[in-house]
Amino acid sequence: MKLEICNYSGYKIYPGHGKRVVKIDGKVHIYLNSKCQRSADMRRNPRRVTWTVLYRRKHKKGAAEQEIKKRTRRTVKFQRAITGATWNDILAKRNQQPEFRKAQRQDAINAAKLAKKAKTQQKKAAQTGGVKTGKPVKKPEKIQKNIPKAGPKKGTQR
Amino acid sequence: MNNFVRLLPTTIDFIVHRSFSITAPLYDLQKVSRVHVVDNSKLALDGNVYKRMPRIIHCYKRNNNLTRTRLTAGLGDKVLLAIKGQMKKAIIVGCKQRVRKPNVPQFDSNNVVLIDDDGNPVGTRILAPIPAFFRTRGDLAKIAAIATAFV
Repeated sequence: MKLEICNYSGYKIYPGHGKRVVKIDGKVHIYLNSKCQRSADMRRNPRRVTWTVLYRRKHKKGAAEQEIKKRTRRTVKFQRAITGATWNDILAKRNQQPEFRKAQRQDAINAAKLAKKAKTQQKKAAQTGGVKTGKPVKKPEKIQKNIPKAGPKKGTQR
Repeated sequence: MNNFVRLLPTTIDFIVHRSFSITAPLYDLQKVSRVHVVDNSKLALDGNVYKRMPRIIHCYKRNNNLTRTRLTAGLGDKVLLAIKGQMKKAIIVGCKQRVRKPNVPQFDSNNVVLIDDDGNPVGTRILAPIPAFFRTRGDLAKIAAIATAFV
């Protein structure tokens, strides 16, 4: 025999006990006894009726529930490689010394300055060669001034 | 009963018990009992909305030795209904009266399914849950076949 659970009180209903009622909307309610049935008919909310299981669950009565809550989960940090950088690469970058990084920054700045000089020299040569074209020559000069400034910044910030 | 209590003299002290003993109400289905049809047939849908609720006008009981005028019908019994001015046979699928048998549920409304004279249900679906013993009884198998839910 299947052990039912009372819809109202939450108690187990053994064979030979209980009453099954089908409501007008088709829902089936199983009551342990007339106490449960009458309480339900009176529209008493089982969550407010002290002796029912629903009330005890809602108000967290009973030691069993507290024990289950004590088990907490801890997330474990997992270090792994990403496509584009192997684990060793990541470690190397992380373990770089500050002096090493400063030297890298300086190299990048020097390289950018050289590049800027080279570009301005080139443009000067182009200007003297093509003065007849006029306005369009000025525009590329302005754009090129901005690029070398942005260069060293990109390399350092990490 | 309430009217009578109001008429009782309230000043007389020796009247201690003002209440009357009342037996539990019986919800048997008998002649003139109002009933709810749970078919999806047209007659059922119209009949439930008609000015008068469908009523039982006769109960066909298998045992014909009953001589009392109060002939009652229960779950699985065939009855004759008056729906929308017509007479139609039906089978009781839900009873408010509590049946003291195992696994037989009690319903909050008296439900009924229309059948024709051969015993075939008129509708194609039954909208309410039906007691499970309809599956095992041979004469109710046709009703069980169109049922959607069992209790």
